[in-house]
Amino acid sequence: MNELLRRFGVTSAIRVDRTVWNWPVHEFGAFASETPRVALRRLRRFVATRLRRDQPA
Amino acid sequence: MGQRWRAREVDLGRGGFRLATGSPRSYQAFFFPDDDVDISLRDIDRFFRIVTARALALEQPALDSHSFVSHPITVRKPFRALRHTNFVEIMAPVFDREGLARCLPFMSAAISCWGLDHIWPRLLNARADRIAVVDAVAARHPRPVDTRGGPWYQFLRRLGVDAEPR
Repeated sequence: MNELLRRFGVTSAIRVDRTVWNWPVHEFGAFASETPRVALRRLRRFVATRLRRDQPA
Repeated sequence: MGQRWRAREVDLGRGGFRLATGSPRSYQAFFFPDDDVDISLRDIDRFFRIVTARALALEQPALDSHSFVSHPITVRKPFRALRHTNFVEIMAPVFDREGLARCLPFMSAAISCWGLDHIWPRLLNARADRIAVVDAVAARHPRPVDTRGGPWYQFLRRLGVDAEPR
């Protein structure tokens, strides 16, 4: 069967070309399609802001 | 499975596709799940909304963690909406109208249908962002593929077709 597939021009292995992310943290902003690195940076910023806000005066 | 496709009476050219309502030309996407794929109607609706919104040409729902899996790439991954791939398994593909018209002759000609899912992306020659495994919607494949005792494979053997993967 592999030979048959080659005749159809199928030469590359199965692969993922691109991932569309979907982070379950919508209150942080628009997360869809952001990479993990960007999402983590946004999450850190969100937590830091929240901690500052929640500190007693 | 060419026989399977024939049994589904898929014939876009002559409008012979038996649908509940309307002609095939009035539909944007066509879902062909195997009879042992579990997916709710609500999830199918959600799936169609995603694939039409993103103008995908060929896609499938991901398989949940309780499924029997032939290709690891089809297993649902957390925190993903979808993954653009170069492969969609024959178990539960969705085609857009143009894609189905292009792939249909090959589906009808094949008997065992092994390998068809490898050539679909090639036949469609679609951009990489039009083929996907959709993680936002999961289906379940609760039975293992039984190439020895399964009725489909027994049927193929009676036809003299050896469908064992090599």
